[in-house]
Amino acid sequence: MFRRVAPEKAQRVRLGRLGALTLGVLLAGAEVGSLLAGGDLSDKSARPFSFARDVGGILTKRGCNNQECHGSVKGRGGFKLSANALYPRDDHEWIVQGGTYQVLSPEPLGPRQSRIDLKQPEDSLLLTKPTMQEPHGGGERLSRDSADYRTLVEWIRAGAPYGSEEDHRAREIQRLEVSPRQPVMGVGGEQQLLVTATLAGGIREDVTGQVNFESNDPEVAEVSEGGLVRARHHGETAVVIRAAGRAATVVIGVIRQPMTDYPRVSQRNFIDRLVLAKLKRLHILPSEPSDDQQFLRRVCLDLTGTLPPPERVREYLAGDHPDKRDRLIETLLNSPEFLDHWTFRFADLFRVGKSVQGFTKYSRLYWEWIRDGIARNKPYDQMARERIAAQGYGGPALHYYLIGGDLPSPQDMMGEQVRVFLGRRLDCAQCHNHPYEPWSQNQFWGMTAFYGQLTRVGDINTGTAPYNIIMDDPEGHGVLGKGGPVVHPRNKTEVRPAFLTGEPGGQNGLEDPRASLADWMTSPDRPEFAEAIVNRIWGHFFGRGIVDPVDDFKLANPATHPDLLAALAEDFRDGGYDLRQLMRRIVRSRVYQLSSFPNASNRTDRTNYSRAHPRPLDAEVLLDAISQVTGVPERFGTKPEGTRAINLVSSDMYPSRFLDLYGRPNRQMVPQRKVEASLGQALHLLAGPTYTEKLSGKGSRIGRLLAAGASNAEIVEELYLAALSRFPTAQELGELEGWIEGQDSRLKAVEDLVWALVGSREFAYVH
Amino acid sequence: MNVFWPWNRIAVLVAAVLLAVAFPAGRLQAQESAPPTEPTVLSVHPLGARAGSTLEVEVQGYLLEGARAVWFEQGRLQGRVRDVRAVPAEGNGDSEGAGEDKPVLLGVRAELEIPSDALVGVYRFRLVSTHGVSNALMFRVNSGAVLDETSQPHQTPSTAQPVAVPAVVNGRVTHDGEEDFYAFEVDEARELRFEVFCKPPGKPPDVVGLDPELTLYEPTGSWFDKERTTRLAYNDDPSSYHVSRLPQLTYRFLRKGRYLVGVGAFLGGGSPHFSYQLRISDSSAPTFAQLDRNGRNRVPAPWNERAFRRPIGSGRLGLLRSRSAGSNGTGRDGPLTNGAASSHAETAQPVPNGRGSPASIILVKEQENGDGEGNTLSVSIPGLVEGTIDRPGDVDRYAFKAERGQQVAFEVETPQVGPPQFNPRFGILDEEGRELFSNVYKRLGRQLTFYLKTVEPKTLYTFERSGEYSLVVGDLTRRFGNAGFRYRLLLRPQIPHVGKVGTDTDRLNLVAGQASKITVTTDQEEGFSGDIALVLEGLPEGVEFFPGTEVKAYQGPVPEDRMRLRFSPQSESVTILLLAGADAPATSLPVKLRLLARPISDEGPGPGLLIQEIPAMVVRPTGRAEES
Repeated sequence: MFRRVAPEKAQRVRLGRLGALTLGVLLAGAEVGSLLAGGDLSDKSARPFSFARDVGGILTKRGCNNQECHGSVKGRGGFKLSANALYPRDDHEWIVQGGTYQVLSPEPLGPRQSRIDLKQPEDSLLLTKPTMQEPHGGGERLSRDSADYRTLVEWIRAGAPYGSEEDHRAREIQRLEVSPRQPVMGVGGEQQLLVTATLAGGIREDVTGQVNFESNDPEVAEVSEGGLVRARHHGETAVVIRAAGRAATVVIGVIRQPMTDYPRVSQRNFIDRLVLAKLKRLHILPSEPSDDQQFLRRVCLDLTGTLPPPERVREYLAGDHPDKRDRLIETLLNSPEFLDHWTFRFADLFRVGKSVQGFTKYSRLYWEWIRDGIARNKPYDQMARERIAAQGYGGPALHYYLIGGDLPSPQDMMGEQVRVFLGRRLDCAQCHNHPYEPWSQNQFWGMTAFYGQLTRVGDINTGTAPYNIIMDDPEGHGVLGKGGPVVHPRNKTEVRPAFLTGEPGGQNGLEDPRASLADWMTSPDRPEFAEAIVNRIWGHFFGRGIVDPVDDFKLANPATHPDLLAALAEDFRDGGYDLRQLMRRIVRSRVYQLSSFPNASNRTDRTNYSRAHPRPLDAEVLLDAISQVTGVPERFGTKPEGTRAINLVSSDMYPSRFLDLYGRPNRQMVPQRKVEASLGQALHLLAGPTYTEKLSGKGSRIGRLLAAGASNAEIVEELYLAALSRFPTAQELGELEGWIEGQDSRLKAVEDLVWALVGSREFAYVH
Repeated sequence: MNVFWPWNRIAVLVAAVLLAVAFPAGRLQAQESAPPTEPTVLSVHPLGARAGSTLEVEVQGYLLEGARAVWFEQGRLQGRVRDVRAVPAEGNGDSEGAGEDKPVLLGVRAELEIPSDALVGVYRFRLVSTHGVSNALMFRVNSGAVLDETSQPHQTPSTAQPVAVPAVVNGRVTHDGEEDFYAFEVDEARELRFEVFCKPPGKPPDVVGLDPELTLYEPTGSWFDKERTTRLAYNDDPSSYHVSRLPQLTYRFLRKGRYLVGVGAFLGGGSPHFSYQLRISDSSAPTFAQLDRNGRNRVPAPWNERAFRRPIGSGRLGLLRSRSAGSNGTGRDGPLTNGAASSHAETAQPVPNGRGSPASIILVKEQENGDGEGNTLSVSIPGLVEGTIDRPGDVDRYAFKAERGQQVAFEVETPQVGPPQFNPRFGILDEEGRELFSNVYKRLGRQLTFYLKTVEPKTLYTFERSGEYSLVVGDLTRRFGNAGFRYRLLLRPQIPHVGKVGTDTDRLNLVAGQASKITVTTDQEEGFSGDIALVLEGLPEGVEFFPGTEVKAYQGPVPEDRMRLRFSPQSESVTILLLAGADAPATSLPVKLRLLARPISDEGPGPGLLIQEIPAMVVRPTGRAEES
C-alpha cells in the first residue's frame, strides 16, 4: 500500500501515482508488507513552457499525430502534424497559421486559416474537432473536462506561444525508460508500466500520464491509456510508448504457467547465458541438445550449403571424441565449401548479377572481390568501407554501375547501403518525414547527398574508353535532375552531405564524401553497424533475426533479445569484425545446437530460440543437394559439368524453372528470401526434370549402387545417409526393403525411393 | 578537307558523284550478319611452336577451296599447304549450322617451317585460296620447347596433364564446359606467372575467338570431397567490359607442392577454334606482351597519338613536324638537355621530306621528399615531366610560364600502369589557384540525361593571359597509387599535323569487272588546315582507283560540344573505289598495296606517311582464280 508522508502537500491517486498540489519538498513512501520504500519527490522549480512538450505531448498522447491520423504522410483532412511531434516548429506553424500541407512543396495549398481562435479559445478548431463539437473523422479524442483540454485552452488564451528555444531544450526528452524493463506475467495478469523521461541536464520526470501506449499484438497483451498491461494469451508482444519527440518499447512476456523448479541448463558461451536467461524468465524450457545426426546435417548445411557425404556421416556418427562437434566446426569453417557458400550468400546480399551490373565481366570482378574477402577473412568493416566508398575500376566500384550505362539514383544507392550495413530502411523518408520512425526527409536527403557526386568516367558506348571508372566528382554525373548536386524535393535547395546525426560529412562537402560516410557508418562508436550484420548472420543460423526482418530495425520492431544483440555486436566489434569468429561463436553455442523436437513448454515458442526450427533450404542449396544425392549434376548453360548453383557468378544468366520456383531472387533489389510452398513446387516435384531426370541419369548414385551389386538394405542405408544424413530406423529399413523386393523393377523401385527422399520435407529443410 | 590526288600516280580523278551513282555505297558494304564473301580463317591449331621446328597446323575457315599458299606478312617463316578437307559438321564449332548461302567450313592442313634464328614473337599469316587472300591469323614463335596438350582426358583436377615449369603448352578448349587442367610442382616462395595467348573474337564475320580465363588451384581435397580443389587465384585483368586479350596472373606460392592451373573460356563456352598457348614462367621473365613489344619482328603499330601507351620521347616534336606540311620529316629533335634520354621508340615511319627545325625539350623529373611531399618544380615549354603517383592521394606540382595567345598541347603517357587502373588527371591552375582546364573531357550523352566523361591523353589549350601557371598531376580518384603509376607529360607548342589515318579494310580481293571500296579516315590535329593527299602504290595490273563519296545514315542530333576540339581532332572520311577491269589478270599471291598520306599546304608538301600495307589480289568473278 502507499502512504502519504506529507498528506497536506500531495494527494493520493490510484496505483501509487502522486500529483503535486503545491510547490515544496515531499517525501513519499510505499509499503508492501513489512517493506517500506521511500523517495524524494521534490518539485524544485516551476516548469518552463514548451510547445513541444506541453502541446505536442498532448497531441502525441491522444494519438492525434500518429501515422493513422494527422501524423500520416499527407496528414488528415488537410491538417498535417509531425509524427510524435518530432518537428514541433512545423506543428506550431500548421496549427497557428493553418493551411493544407503539400508533400512536394513547403508552401501550403490554398489560403491559410488558423486552427485556433485567440479571442474565443474554446471555438478553436483544435478543440472543437477532437471534442466532437464539430464532425471529426478521428472520433472523440478529448473531453472538455479533461486537464489536457484545459491546458490547450490556456495555451491559446496565452496567445499560442511556441516558447523559447531555451525552454524547449530544457524540457526536451532525451531518453525514455520503461519500468519494469521486461515484464513477464501469467495469462490474466496485470502490470502497470511506469515511464520516466530524462530531460536535458539529467532531470528525470515521470511521464506515464503523458504518453501514448500501443500494443503490437493486443491478442497477447493489451494496454490501457494509462499504461496498465493486461495479459490475454500466452506469447510475447511489444508495447510501443510514444512521448513528444521520443518513443520506446517494452517487450511483454505472457507465460502459460509458472515453473517453480526451473532446472539448471548448462551453457557454453554468452549466447547461451543470455538466451537461457530469457527462457527462464519466460518459464520456457529449452529442448534437449540435438543428436549428432541432426547437428551434423544442420551445421554442414548452414556453414557450407553442402550435405555431408555418406562416408562422412558414418565416420562422424561413429566417432566418440568429446570435442568432435567443435572439431567439425573448425573443419567446416576452413573448407573450400565454406568459401563457396558464403561467397554465394554475400553475392546475394551485395547483389551480383549480369542484369544488375550490366556486363558479365563487371559482375565477375565484383564477385571475385567478394570471394577474395571471404577467403582472406577480410574484416567486415573493411569490406563495408570498400563497398560504400568504392572508387576506380574494381569489383566494389563497378557495383555502382547499372545496365544501360547509367548510374543508379543517389537516393537508391544511399538507401541500399544503409539497409545493408545499418539494417535500416530509410526509403519512406524520401518523400516526407518517416511516418513511423524518427527519420526526417532532411536526414534522408542529407545522407543522399553523399552520393550526389558519384560519377562514372569512361565511355563504353562510344569506345573512347572501353571501361568505366567510378569516382566522386563535384560536378556530378547527371543532368535533368539525375545526379549532380542533390536537391531537396520540397524546398528545392541544394543539400549538403550530412549524417543521420545531422553532422556535416565529407571534406568541405566536396572531396570524397563517401569515404567519410563509410567511416561514419562503420565507426566502432556506432552500434548499428555491428548489430546489423550480427543480426543478419544470426538470422541465417536460426531462421529468424533477433530483429526480424533482419534489415528492418525500427522502434516498432524491437529486438526480441536486445542484450544478446548488443553482446554479439560488441563481441564482433572487439574481435575485429571477424565473420568466421562470429559464426564460430554461434554454432558452438548450446542454443544453436538445440534439438528441433519441442517440449511441452516451448511447443509454441517461435521467438526465443528455445529449440531449432526447421528452415527451408534456399533454392540454390536445395538444387545442389538434389544433384549431390542423385549424383547427377545440374547443367548450367556452357558452365563446366559439376558447377554448383551456389557457384554461379551471375545466376540470372541461367534460366532455371526450379530455382525460380524455390525463390531465387533476381537481385534487382536487396533480396529477401522467403521460401514458401507453392503449387508450382508441388507440380515440379511430380513432373519437373529436377526430380525426374536426375534420378537415374548418367553416372547417378543409383546406377553406381546397382552396378556395384549393393543389396536393398545397403541401397536404402546409403540413400538415407546421402539425403538425410542419418541411418534409416529399423522400421524404415524393414519396410523399404520389403517394398523394393515387391516391385517388378528394382531400378524403378529405387528411383521411387530417391524421389520420395528428395521430395520429403525432412530433406528440403534444415532442422 | 580537300583531297589532292597527285598526277604521277596510277589513279585518275573521276567525278565522285558519277561513281557514287554507279556503285551505290550500301551495296558494297558488308552486312554484319551476312556470310563471308571472302576467304575467312577462324583459327589455327596449334597456335605456336619453337624456333627451328617444323610442324603441321590446321587452319579452319570459309572460302578456302583451292588453298594454295600460306603467306606470312613478316619474317622468314615458310608454310606449305598439304590438303584441304571439309570439317565434319559435328563439333565444328559452328553453332548456327550450315545455311543455304553459307560456305562450307574447311580445314587446311599446312606445314610450317620456322627458321632456327626466327625472332620470338607473334607472326601474322594469311591463306591464299581461289577466292583470294584471307584475313590474318597470329602464330607465336617461342624460344623454348612447346608442349602439346595430351590427347588423354585432362579436364578434371585428377586427370590434369603434368608439366614441368617453365612450360609452354599448346591447347584447345574444344567443348562447352571444358577446362583443361595442367599440374606442376613448385618450390616454396617461388613466384610464377601464368599467361594465355589466343585469338580473341573479332568483328563479323570473324567473330570466333576465345575469351580465356585462367584459374589456379591447389588440390587440397576437402572434408566433403577428397578430389576437391581450392581455388587460389583467377586472372584479374579483364580491363575492358568484353574480352581478356592477354590474361595473366602472378602468384607467389607459400608452400612447396603440386598445384593445378586451369584454362577455360569465360562463361564456359567451347569450340574447336578455341586454340590457346599457355605459358608458365618465373615472374621475372618478360611477359608475352613485353616479348611482343620488344621483338624486332613486330609489325609497327599504327600512329595513334591519343593513347596513353604511346611513347612520348625526346623525338616527339620532330615526329609531329614530320607529319605536317612543309616539314623536313627527320623525326629528330635535339637531345634532352639534362642528359636523361628517353629509351622510347617511336613507331611512325616518316619519309624524309621538307623542312623543320629541331627543338630542345627540357626534362624535369619529379622527386618526392621523405615525407612524401614533392617540391614544385619548374618546367618550360617545350618541356617533359616525369613522375610517379606512388601512393594514394599523391599530387605532383609543376610551375611553368605561358604567354598570352600561346597555343600549347599537353600530352600524357603512362609507360607502365595505365587506365583503368591508373588514370592520370592533370589540371592547369592560374596564379590564383583556379583550375582553367583539365584533361577530363565532359560532354552530354546522346540521351541528354547524363554527362560522358573521359580522361584524355592529349589536351589543347590557348592561354588568354601571360603569366605563371601550375600543372597539377595525380590519379583521377586520389584513392590509388604505387610505383607503377608512372607518367610522362609533355608540354609543347601545338604543331598542326596529320594525325591518325586508318582504313576499314585489312585485305582486298578485287573481283575482275567489279568495284571494291576502301574508306580512309584522316585526323587533322592541332589546327592542321592543309590538304591531305592519299596515294595508293603497287596496284595490280588492270586495277584503277577513284575517289568516291558515301552518304551516311542520319544518327540523330548531336549534342552541342564546345570542348570537342580541345580533346579530339577534326576528322574526315573519304572513299576510294578500286575498279578491277574485266580483263585484269588474276594474281596467284597477294601484292602489298601501300597506302600513303601526304600533308600539303602553302608551305609545300610534307613527307609521305605510310599508313597501311594492304594485301591485295585480283580474282575471277566465279572465285576460281587463274594462275598467272
